[in-house]
Amino acid sequence: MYLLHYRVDNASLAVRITLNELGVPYRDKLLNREAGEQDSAAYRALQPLGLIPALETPDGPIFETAAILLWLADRHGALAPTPSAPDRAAFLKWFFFATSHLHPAVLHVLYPEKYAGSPAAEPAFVRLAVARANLALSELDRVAAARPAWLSPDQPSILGFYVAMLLRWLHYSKPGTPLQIDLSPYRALHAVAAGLETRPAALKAAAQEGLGSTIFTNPDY
Amino acid sequence: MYTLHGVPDWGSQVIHMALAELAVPFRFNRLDWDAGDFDAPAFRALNPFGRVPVLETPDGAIFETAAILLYLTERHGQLAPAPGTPDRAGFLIWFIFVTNQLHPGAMTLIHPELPGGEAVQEQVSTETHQRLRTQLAALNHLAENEAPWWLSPDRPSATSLYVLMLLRWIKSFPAIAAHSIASQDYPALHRMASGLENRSAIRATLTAEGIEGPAFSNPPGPAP
Repeated sequence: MYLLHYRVDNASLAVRITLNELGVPYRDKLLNREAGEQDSAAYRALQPLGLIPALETPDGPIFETAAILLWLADRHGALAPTPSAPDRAAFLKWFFFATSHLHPAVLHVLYPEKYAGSPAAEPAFVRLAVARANLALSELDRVAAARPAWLSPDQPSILGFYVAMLLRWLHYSKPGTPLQIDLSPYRALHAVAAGLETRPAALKAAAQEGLGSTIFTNPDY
Repeated sequence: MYTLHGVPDWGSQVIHMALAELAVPFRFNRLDWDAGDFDAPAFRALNPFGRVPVLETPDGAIFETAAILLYLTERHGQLAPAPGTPDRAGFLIWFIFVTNQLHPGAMTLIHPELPGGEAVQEQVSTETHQRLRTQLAALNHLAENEAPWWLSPDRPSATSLYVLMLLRWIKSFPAIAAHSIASQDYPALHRMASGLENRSAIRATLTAEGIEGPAFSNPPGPAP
């Protein structure tokens, strides 16, 4: 039995959808941000750096979203090419590309105050981050246009859920400010997000966290 | 037969060491930045971003350091706990921690001007340096207390080889000399570096890349 430590609409969402899609039993535990629970001694014992999500498994607690997703896919033999499959190489390349380039670029675009170093530096920092995010999105869009099984609208995959969640985040903007990134050119990625958000696993996760029914393409912020 | 596209003492070094430890045949294609090799259409066809490392494999060209490493460990059944084994979870956590946290942190220490421009590079470098120290302390704590084989001085892994390369970077190449980090501050990581850098496969790789001395446990400090 797994135990998912989560916050609503956090990176834990991709893990939750993956668990739902695998159909494995799990419990979840909400980490209260206001109470600072991710900094509590109990959570630090599980996750020394206070990172969310964390998944408790029979093999011990796992953290880092990408590590959890990859471990679940390998453990259950689903949602990614298996280690001996011929398309494992291509999958790994783009999975690590998404976690190393798209994920941090999206965080930098949305939360420059955490990463830019100073308020004065934020405009230039955001401009550079937007450029990096657009570059990463256009490459992934090109990959998705070929509809590989591991990044497809019709077949669930950990990479599909991961990228769709990052697209969800990019629909967020601070009140009174425009969206930082125009997502309309990325039609193949949009198709992946639109296909995956209608899956029962995604709808169930949306209901579990109270997120509406179009969680990837038209989130309700 | 693999072909590794890289540059001596650049990010391709960890792949170079992994191939040597696996003792598989490979060719090293040395790229020359000044000659425009990174923008050559043939190289851009392998990696549209024009970065090293790139590894050509029977399953196509792979980029992203972590993707290449994981692929090699899975294909050859070495340098990592196999998928399905009980210690795979612990390995994956820290392997991905190294690629998602330590690697970009080390890059920022070397190029603090990249995230936000030159005006704030000192501040960016200061914060990165502090964050790296916290992260290295966590990794050192793990190596000291749980001592997984994949962080040990006598048996290399994809994770330990990756950490070795980054220990070299954060000691030798920070843009701001005061932010140089010595492996001696993290005793378990220092012992790991000392042990692994004396292995014959690692020594051979370093020689091929033109590097002498204790390349990972005690490399030279940054140029003044």
